[in-house]
Amino acid sequence: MKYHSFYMRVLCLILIIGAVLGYNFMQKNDTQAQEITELTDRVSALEEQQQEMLTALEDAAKAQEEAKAAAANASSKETAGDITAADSSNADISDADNVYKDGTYTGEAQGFGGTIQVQVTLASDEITDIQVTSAPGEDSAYLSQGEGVISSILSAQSTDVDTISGATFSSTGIINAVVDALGKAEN
Amino acid sequence: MKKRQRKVRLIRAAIQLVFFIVAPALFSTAFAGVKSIFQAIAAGQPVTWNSFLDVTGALLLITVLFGRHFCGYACAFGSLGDAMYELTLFIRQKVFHKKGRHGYPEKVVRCLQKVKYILLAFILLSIFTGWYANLQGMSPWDVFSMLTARKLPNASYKIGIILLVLILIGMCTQERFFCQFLCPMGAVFALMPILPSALFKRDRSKCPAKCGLCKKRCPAHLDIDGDTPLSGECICCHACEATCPRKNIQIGQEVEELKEEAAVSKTPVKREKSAAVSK
Repeated sequence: MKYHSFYMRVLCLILIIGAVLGYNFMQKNDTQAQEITELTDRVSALEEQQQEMLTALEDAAKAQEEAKAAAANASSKETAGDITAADSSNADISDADNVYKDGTYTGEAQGFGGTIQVQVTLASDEITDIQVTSAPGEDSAYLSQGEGVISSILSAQSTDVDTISGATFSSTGIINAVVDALGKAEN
Repeated sequence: MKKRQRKVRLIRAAIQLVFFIVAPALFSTAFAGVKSIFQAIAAGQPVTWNSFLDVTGALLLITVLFGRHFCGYACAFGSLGDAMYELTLFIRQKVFHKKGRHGYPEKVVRCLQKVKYILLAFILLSIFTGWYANLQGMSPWDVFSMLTARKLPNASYKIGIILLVLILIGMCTQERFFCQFLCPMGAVFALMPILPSALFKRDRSKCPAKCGLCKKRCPAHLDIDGDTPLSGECICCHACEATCPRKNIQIGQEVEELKEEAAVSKTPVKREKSAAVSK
């Protein structure tokens, strides 16, 4: 047959792509099934809670009626209500108590092929934003892969996170640059 | 005739140099894309498109449509191999008093060409089983990309450095030593369905008996004959095209196919189908 090996390879390629897509589809189904079970669990828990609250309310209503009856019996007696003043000493969290000063700080560290510079924004001891401002030595594909570490730093609120496999140097560089910036922000 | 070969080689060398300076990491980025698929599966996560796969996808698409011109013209590691081979050609000719190019015998080349598939399977399997972390510091590519980034690899890359040196020595003994025998990305490229219209074709009827210049000149010792089980090994260096004294070899349609097309309009339908399948 003409182009025999070409057609064989097309077939193999389609099989491989199909396998990956099938795997992704199964993964999606799995996560959906998991989400559904989680949601049903939550719903049943909520229903239980609701039930408990209802019974509690009923109990409370009963108790109130009983109390009313008791009060009618002893209406002559005066009840002294003591007023408690809730002292709202809501102390202002001053900046001086924080570990880090608020603001935007830049930090630098070695990436794969040079210095990576990041900009870290802090607000009341929380890392709110991390931007890579310059990374001239980094290969763009590796850098954008390594930038995945930013979201894990933000969600963990810590630089003690795993590096991105495949872009170890770039992600390590970003982590170290954030550490550097945090060091500058320390009170 | 020699002039034409020189011209083709020089144009290629110039393009290789440009790519070596501008994008020395393309080949390892492309392979990182392949690895990322297996890493995702090994971690039990869905395979998502990432910036590595941009490069992988683009290169595979180019390969399917136009042949392995990336390997022949743009890959920094391939260019390194060519440079090593060409620079030591002079020494080999002086020391061993041999004329022309002498690589390994065809049978040895055929066997060694299978090694890259084994290597690819080994790397992907080790990623799949999570054993890949143990191979940290062993990749000669990591060492090479550190050097192109003007950074000296540290002691943890000892094995990688040794392997790179061994590969560099191998590169001097056979044209495109690494690409044909060891490159895991080359194995992926060689498995791609390259459109028959992007393969080198030879009009055998015009060939003189016992010529075989093209096969002698081919770095992969290929019989240039369109779509064959080995046509994926062709790295599109265009040496055969430049060598052929009768200009019998060219990329694209065979001469008899052209005749067929002119006679019956059956072939274009076939071609369209094959193009649609590969998309």
